Amino acid sequence: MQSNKEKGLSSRILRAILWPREMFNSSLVGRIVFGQFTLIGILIGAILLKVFLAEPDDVYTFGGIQRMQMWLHSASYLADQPTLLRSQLEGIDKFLRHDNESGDREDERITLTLHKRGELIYASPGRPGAMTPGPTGKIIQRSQAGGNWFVLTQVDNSTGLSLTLSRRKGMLHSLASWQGVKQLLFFLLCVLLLLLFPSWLAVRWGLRPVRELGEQLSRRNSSELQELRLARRYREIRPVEAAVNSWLSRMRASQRRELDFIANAAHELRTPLTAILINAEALSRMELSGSISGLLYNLLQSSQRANRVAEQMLTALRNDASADNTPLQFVNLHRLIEAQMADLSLQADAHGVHLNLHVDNAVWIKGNFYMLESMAANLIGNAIKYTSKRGQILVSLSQDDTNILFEVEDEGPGIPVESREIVFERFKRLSGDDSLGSGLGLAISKSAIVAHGGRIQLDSSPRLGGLRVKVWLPKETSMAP
Amino acid sequence: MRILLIEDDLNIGNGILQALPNGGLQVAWVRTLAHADAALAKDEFVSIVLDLGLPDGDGLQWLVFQREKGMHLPVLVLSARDSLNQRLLGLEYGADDYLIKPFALSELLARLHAMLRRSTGFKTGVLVCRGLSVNPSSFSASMNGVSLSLSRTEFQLLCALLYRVGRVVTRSQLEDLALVGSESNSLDMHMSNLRKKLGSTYIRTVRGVGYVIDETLRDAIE
Repeated sequence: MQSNKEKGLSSRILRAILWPREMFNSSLVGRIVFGQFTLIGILIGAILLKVFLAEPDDVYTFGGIQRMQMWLHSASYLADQPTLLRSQLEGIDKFLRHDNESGDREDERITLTLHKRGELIYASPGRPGAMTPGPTGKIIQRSQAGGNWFVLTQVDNSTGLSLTLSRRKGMLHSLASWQGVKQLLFFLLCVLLLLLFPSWLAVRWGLRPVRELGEQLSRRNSSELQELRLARRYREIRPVEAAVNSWLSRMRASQRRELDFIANAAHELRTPLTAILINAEALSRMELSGSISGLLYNLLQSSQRANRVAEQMLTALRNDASADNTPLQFVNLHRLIEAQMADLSLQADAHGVHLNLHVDNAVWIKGNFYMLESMAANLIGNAIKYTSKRGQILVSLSQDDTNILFEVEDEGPGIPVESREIVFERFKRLSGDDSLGSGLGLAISKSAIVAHGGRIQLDSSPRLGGLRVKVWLPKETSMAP
Repeated sequence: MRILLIEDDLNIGNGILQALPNGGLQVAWVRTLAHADAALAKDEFVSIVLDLGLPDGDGLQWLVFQREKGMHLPVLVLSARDSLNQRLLGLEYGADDYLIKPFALSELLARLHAMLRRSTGFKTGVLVCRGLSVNPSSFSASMNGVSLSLSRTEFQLLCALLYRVGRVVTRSQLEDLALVGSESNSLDMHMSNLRKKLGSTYIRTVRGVGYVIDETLRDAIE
């Protein structure tokens, strides 16, 4: 199970890598992580774009105005010594062209031009060559020697020297080199990949309340309609919680109306049914002709059956209602069954059927008294109903460490193998069954057993030849609270 | 023997009115609590059959009120309510027995007779059934006029069964009544002794469940 789950997870991750869209469409975490990374990607892209396309439109492109003024100042000291001046400027050129590891590159280097009162004194070798001075202290652009150039000029008024620096306009000039760019890109990519897992964890953590909400809802069975109560009420979850709660309260109201309606209907049926029974019975005590008493017998049978259906409907409803709001209690199952059999002995006597109970020891179970009572009454009542005169019914109760086994065997016709599942459906009757049953008894029993975490099985009784009903109930039931 | 029937439903009332005289009982039928009060003031009754949902009030409250006034007649409650709480309330509030609608006429008659016999037994101090007569206060019992010698436990068991003639008394109930702290098989021993003294057919066994004294002897089927 665990390995399956892991397999599922790894295959999901693999699928997500190969075909990410599927994950974005199927997972909220995927969507948010994707959103985050798109944002980070755009941010990085914008920074790179800014870096790539940035124009050297301030003096720092030329290493700062102070450096330039220093050069101009020292040049003005040597203004009357052309040889020295030239060698000094060559020295500066050399410094400028070799101060980075990638060596001299036309794209990056700064070119010097020195004029004295309009007369060219020095120009750095190579392109763009001598650059005409521009306005003092302001960067301008100029086309020359097949390229675009930024130009900055400073003038020393006392000597009339003007120093003009130029630098090629183009891409990547702010970065050390293309190789540097590649390294940066690689670094950013690694960061992005390393961020993926923590970001996934963070988003998962952030979305945990959503998952918890789902788990809370999925743990409920269909009859648990009480309000959702979340430990922490996050602002984003609140609308969902409110919507679910309002839906639940509408469900509760409609369930209550439905229960009330059926309970009232069954209740209102009881009085007229009693009247029918009593009058028919009173009539049957009189001396009547054969055909009339035959008709009366039919009337009595049908009204008894109608009574039984009304009773069972009420039992089923009461079980449903008590399953939700009755606290579990320790029930002495031996006493419960004994008392039910004592009650049913009137019915058994009327059928001429013998009841037998066998119990080893006191058998206790933690459960719902009413449901267990209705289960025992229905299963034993069925056995009585289907056993013919002078037949036997064996009821036994035994237990081991964890389970209780409750068995009812009868001498009736039994239930064919192929029908042993469908008899648990409500209002299901097998063909040829002319008994006065409601068709609800087995359904009621089964729902009571299932509510206690147990199971029921029908087979044939090896001792009596009729039906054997076996019920297993765990001693400590895991009933929904 | 007149019984006061308090029931507002016309058809049920009429049915009972028609049927009960056949069972040897006279019936006075009223449909409201006010009429019931009037009938009780005017006539003598041996018991009351009380429906709970009446047009001028709740039958249970009326019963509590009557009991406080000292009305001691045995009361059989008829109810269309069925929850166990209300069953208990019915007995707590002074009802002697209850029947839940719908019920069969034969069941009503059986309950009425059993209730009347109990109340007669309490009144005269002697329980009588099928030739057996038992006086709980003097610890004496006789079968067809022949005095029986019973142990204290046997006597208690017999009384428990006689108080509930026609109904199975479970083994647990008998053990609680007469054999506190004893082993379960000692109940079998005491019952076997009791049956020897009463005759083997007097007490019927429902195996593993309990014992019953039937009102009339059943055909032995076993």
